[in-house]
Amino acid sequence: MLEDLCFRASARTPWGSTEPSTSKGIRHYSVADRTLCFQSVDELLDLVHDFLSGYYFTPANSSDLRNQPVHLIEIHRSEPPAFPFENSGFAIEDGYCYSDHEQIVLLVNGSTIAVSAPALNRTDVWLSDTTANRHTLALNNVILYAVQAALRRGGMYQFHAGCVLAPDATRGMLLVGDSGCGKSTLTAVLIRNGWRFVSDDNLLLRDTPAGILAWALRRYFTFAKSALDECELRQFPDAIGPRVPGDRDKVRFYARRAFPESFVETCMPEVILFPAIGTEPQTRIEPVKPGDALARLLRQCPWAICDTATAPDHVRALANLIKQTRSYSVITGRDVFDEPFSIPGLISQRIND
Amino acid sequence: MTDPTFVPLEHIVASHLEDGDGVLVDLNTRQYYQLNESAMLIWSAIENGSSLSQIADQLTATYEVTNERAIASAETLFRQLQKRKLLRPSE
Repeated sequence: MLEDLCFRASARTPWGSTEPSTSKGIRHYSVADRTLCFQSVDELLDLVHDFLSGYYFTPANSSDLRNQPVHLIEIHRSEPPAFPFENSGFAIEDGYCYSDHEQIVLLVNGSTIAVSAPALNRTDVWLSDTTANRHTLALNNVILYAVQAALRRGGMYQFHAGCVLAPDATRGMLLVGDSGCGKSTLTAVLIRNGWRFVSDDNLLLRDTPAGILAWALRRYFTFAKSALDECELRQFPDAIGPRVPGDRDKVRFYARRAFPESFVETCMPEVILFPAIGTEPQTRIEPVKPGDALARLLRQCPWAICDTATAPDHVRALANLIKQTRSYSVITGRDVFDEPFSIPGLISQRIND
Repeated sequence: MTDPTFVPLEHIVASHLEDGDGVLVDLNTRQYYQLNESAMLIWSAIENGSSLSQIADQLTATYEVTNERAIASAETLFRQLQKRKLLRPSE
């Protein structure tokens, strides 16, 4: 029976070496007033550093962290322990998740991530030793899962959405939808028309006494190559980065290099747009009821439901976001490209009606 | 005649929205349910420990419905919520 309640994760030998090093270092990184502490051997800490450099994490000095809660992420090269669970678990993108009411264990790309109960402020990662799973893309994916889980335990919720601000606005507009719905293109059209930006697709949400704040998380945008032409972004060659790993049609775009004065690190959203690509000539903008808007956010944020230790606060944060915003669907027409300068005015006019 | 009361199960997270609608998230099944204004009024009353007759009173005070219709509507919602393991009868 005990065997039925346990699983042993797939990593079997130390990652990258048959001689596990006992000398472990520590590095701290902060984002949006939260700090993560990584503990591992130097080669893995270098891997983490390279990964986090694509995001708005900044190295932090441990002496500056007095009285701040710090979440420890320890990365192991040893075999993971067995984890007993009563539940059968469920599939997630790139892996599987086992969850009880306090901790979750993720099997991602052959590696194992154990996220402890929130009070412990601790996540352990056992990296897989197989060649395929040691590919940078796979390892980055594992680190991202661990980082997101650690941040959730600090009340910071990763959110796939763009965020922009109208030229004179003090509050932000979120663009929410599946990959390919036109978030990045619409963000680019707005920025080209003088709007400021937080991100095209990757934010952190934080529930504060003043309201929900959106923080920039990823440093670069991702654009389909065709969107670079359609949005006339090729005139900023210094901002165009390498191809997105795993997606030959997309490239990185470092928007701050092209529009250095337009970046905003954080803002309080007041509008949510749900873009979709339509086939009609004219863009249509329609109000979305709060219940429908919250349901759409929940679809975009599966961890709000699946990470049981943080789910109540996560759901509450999304509900609070709905309460502080007005929501609209935007069915973009061909005018987005034919008359791009008319779109910002159309959006501003419609949401201010 | 009994006047039943129900309680939400602890794995349910309810979000009350400003237009009266709401969303229930079931952390066990990882499903969520959208409730319209009248259903959310009933859910709020359940959270407050109201009995079926008290809920029917609230419905008749809020909407133009008879007491019989209000009781029938509340009982229908109770059955649907119980079937989905979102609430249980109070002990």
